[in-house]
Amino acid sequence: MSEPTTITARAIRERLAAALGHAVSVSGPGKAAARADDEMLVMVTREEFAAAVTAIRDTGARHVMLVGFDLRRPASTSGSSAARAAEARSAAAAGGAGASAAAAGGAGAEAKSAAEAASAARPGAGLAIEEVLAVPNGPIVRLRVEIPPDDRTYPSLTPLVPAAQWDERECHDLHGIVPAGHPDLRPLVIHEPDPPAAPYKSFVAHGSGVYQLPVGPIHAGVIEPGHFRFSAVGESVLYLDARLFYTHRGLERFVEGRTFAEALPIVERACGVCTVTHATVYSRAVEQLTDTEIPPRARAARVLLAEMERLYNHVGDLGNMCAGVGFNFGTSRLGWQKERLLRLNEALTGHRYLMGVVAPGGLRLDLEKRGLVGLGAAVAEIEHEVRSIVRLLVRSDSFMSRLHGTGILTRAEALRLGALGVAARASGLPDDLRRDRPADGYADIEVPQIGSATGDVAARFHVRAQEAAVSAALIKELAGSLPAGPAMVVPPGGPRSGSVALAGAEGPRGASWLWLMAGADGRIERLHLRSASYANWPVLASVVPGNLVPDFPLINKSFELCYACTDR
Amino acid sequence: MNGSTTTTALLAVIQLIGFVVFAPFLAATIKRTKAGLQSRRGPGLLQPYRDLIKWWGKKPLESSASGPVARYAPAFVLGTIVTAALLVPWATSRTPLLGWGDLLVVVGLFAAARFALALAALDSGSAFGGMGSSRDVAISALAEPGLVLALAGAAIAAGSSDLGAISAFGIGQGIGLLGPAHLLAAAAFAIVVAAESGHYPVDNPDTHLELTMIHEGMLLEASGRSLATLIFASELKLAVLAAIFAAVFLPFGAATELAPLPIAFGLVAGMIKMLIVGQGLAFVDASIAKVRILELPDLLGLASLLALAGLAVQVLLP
Repeated sequence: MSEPTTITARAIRERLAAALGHAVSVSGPGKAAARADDEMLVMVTREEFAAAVTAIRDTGARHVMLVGFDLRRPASTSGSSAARAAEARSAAAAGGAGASAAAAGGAGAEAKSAAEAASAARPGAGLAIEEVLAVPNGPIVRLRVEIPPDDRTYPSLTPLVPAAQWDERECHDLHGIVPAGHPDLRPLVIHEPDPPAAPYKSFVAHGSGVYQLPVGPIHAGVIEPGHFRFSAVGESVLYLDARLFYTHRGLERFVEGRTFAEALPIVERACGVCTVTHATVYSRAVEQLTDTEIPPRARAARVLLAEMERLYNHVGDLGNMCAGVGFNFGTSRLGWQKERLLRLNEALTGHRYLMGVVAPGGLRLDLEKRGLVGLGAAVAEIEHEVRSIVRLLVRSDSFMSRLHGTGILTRAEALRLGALGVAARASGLPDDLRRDRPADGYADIEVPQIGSATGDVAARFHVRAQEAAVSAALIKELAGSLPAGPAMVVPPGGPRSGSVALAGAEGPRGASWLWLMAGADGRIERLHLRSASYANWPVLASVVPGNLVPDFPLINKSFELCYACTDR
Repeated sequence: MNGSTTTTALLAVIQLIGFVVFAPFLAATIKRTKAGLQSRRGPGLLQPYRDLIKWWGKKPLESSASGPVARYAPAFVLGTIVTAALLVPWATSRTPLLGWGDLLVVVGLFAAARFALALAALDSGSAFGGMGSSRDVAISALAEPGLVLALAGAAIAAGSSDLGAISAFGIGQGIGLLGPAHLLAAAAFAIVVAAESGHYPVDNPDTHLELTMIHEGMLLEASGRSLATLIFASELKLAVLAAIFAAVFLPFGAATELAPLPIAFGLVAGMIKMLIVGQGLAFVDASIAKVRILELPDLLGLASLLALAGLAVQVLLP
């Protein structure tokens, strides 16, 4: 996949040295020397942070995530990690959050020794943030800054990298780290902070004839909660302020102190429609930490499952776009094709939404033979149906006239706000992790590039339809040629405490990234999941102004963002 | 004179009962057909009655921001539509309240109902109510000329603005009625019926997308008995519009004399014609997308233009 203009880790280091005026120390990702050009960790001071980020950004790098962590917390605030784990478990038992029953046993002594080992292993470790940037055709750069506990500030990155705006607000909410100079530090995650902050205020436009339209968080349909404050004149939207995180469940905190096996179903269930993506990024992060090589069958099967997930999502989302303009024909016909795909999922894995299959080391369950037999033909037949429905939709003037020119996302804006997935590809950005940083079986296949430059709802519609066809072709190819052999290897022993792995995967909504820090004794110290929807929500809010109020449902459905994995 | 009063009363009672019983059924058949066209089974034909009975048995929940307008408007809305229902011919070409009002009064009653509903929706204090009101009033301002103009041609031909007289004239014309003027006016009226009854391509009666709602937006805060009243009023309004369409543009089958058998025949014929109009709406609902809201004036302007063309043909080529 290497392109002619590859940027090496060495080039990045030289760039940073030039920007900061001194040589920087760089550590690679663990012991795998082969991946030295894939990922690098650079420690910088608070004062150097902005300059370092600017230097990396100027290579054309994209913001991946900003993660904050507080490693002092176990010792200094809420007691040992054993106590935290026990508390989390009782919460799980009370809330029925789906923790495995095995987790409840043997919490005490084992976890306690883990906590002791953890605090012993990292003397002086404390509050820190990491800005992760992906250099195109180059490494992923993790810039880590230690934050002194008595002065929890650092210069905000949002003016330099607008895509980091929500990450910084979240870090501010959850870790009390203040990004000085951030243009909008209203609470994002914690709606009712303790101690109470100033009351939340929606941003609105003022002027004669401007009215406000508050929508949600409870909607007329059975959908996820989000509050949208429109400022409108007549039917034209002047400004949209979206407030999410009504479904914040604290999943990241919940998995801290748990074993890798215990956390898997939690991460997988961050939302219900990108389960393969989230299980895969988690599994790959664990595999990196434990230096596990998954067997060929699992490599290929993960691609198959990821494409099944993309296909049913894309087909359903095309149908939902019809619902956005009230075009019942498309909604019902495509809804039925999605249902057929869900049934294939069930035959293949025993679960309509593909849960409980992907796991660290490969696949927890091998694919069902009865599901694999004839899968390629069935998917091809469904794809044929979808294609003919889409052809009818494209021929419908009443439908297409609603899509053209609606909700235009320009390339510049997509780049500025870090749009991902279909939204980015429909606006002229070729970003696709399957091509850019292929992992698992994607390294063995060629995924064709699909895109459009117009950036409107119609472009997102066409990109989705074409990607669905590509997914179907990949599934057809893989279903007939899955390598034989085991689908799972047991990961070798626990990773070194404090080591970090970062994994990304291209899901139906774009790239989801997971940052995972190992604690002692094969437990999780800190986990951060940044889903594609998280990146695209601010993009959606910036696209809507200038459009008509009743076109919002259509624009919203053309992005098809998820609330649950944004809120976590 | 005495006989006339009795006739009026009898016809009024028959027509009132007819509309009250038939209107929810008409709505049910539209839903059912739509569901069928989407490969769904859809709710049973008795579901609207069940819904109305259920809502009727519940006390309306009023928001703290709402006042007496929201409380009393539903009754006014229903009252005006019921009155309109007695000013259109169904079973016979004689309207039950003969001489009490013509087509302009019917249009006026619709406008009064809409005014009351818009006020009630504003009074509910919800942003969606205000949004629905403003859209509904804007749309009806554009639809009303089409409504009047589409009927004007027929009125000029019949020499009367009474809907019964127009219907009787149409029956007298026989198949010769179906000239270009008539067809143009019928097309215009069909668009207006869709707009006035909250159907495609103007409004979506089944939507759950708050931001696209028009009529539903105005009903969003209504509940219990108020909701039952308003839903029934909108079902009744649809039936009345269908009855006008049937009487003016498909007048055949209505009784021309006041005898039991022709009246019974006229009742059934009228019902079938209204069902056909309903099926047309259902088919349009299922087969196209909604028009972008700022393009609605074009569509409704087209209705007025068609009606005007029909009128011109009527006047210039008698």
